[in-house]
Amino acid sequence: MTTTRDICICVSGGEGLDAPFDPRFGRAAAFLLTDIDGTSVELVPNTGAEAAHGAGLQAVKLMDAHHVRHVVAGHFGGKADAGLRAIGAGMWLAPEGLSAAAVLERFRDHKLARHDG
Amino acid sequence: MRIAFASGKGGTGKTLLSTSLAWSLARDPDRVVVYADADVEEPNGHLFLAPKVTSRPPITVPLPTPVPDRCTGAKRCEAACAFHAILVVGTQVLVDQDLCHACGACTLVCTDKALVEVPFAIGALRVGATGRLAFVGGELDVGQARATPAVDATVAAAVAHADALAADTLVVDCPPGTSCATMASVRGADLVVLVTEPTPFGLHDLRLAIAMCRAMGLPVAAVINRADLGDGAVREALTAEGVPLLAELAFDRAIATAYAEGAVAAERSPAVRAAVAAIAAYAAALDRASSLPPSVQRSA
Repeated sequence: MTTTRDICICVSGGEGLDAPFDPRFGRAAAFLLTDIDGTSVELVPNTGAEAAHGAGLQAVKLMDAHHVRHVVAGHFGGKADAGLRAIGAGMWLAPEGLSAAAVLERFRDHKLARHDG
Repeated sequence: MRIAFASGKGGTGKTLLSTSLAWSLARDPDRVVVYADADVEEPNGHLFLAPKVTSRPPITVPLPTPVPDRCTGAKRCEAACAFHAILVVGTQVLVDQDLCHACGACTLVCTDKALVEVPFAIGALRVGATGRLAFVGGELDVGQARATPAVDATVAAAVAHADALAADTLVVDCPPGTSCATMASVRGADLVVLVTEPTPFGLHDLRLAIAMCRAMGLPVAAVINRADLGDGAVREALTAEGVPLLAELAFDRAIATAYAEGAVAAERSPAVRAAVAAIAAYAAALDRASSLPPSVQRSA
């Protein structure tokens, strides 16, 4: 039941899997949507990143629209947590300073910690 | 008669003059006066008037709350929300309570009756009296961003209190600035007294405050505090704008001392008493000139 791009990695810009991982979910510049192998990659700008308030819920809306099943960030705020839970997305935690490719590799290798609120 | 004290710039003397006016008027046994502190984000009128507080009713806003098993996932509420405070996932409604402005649109458009409005406390009123002077103050909870509905609630409570007492004067101490909260505090006033100071900052914000009052169709007058300091630009601007200057207060260390001690300035300073007498006289003249009977409630 997985779509081809069901993993979202928060990134601070750039193109493709070389993009640097951004630990902030709601405030990340963009979302890198990818499949488990990293072969099908799409960069979706985070239109809510500059919002004064409510960036988290806006980002959840984007995740819902793209049928994302797993989100990787550095931390999840209370509203993002509630929203992602509601859309049934898994939440995973990665450390700062990695590339999107490195985050994806850790995800694949089951080396990321699950965020459970 | 409702007299609002606003300023544009903060710290010019709104509370100094509004508490002094209310206190002075209330000394007349023939008068019934209500003082309202509508500066809900930093209320301080009670520090000077020291009212005996008889009740602290909560100030609430109606927040949309999902009713289980009613949502059909039509997302009408999400589309209606101008503040992006609602997310509908399947048949689950998520409401961001911090973003919600309690406008009621979501509840109105939901044909599934899947949302009900539940009162949510954002602050509390302070209702009481200082001798014969009735006191109504609003205070927003720390961390709350909804100042405007708290101001609306405070002014409404003060007007209701004034009506119940058949008060002849309601003095409203307003927040500084020209934001929604300030507009809510001056709306319905019969006279807005802008308290300013002769500095470039005072002048800049005074111009904004005059423009706000004019746009709202409110009669406006001014008092210059610390009038002997700074320059003459504020006086010139008032003349050019046609805003009557009711009083000028020179800087006086005794007033500053009284204020720092939490005393009503009019109690100590003849100059402050003269200034509030001038404001009262102007308000009375304005009231007489009006074809409406004297009242604290001004028709919208």
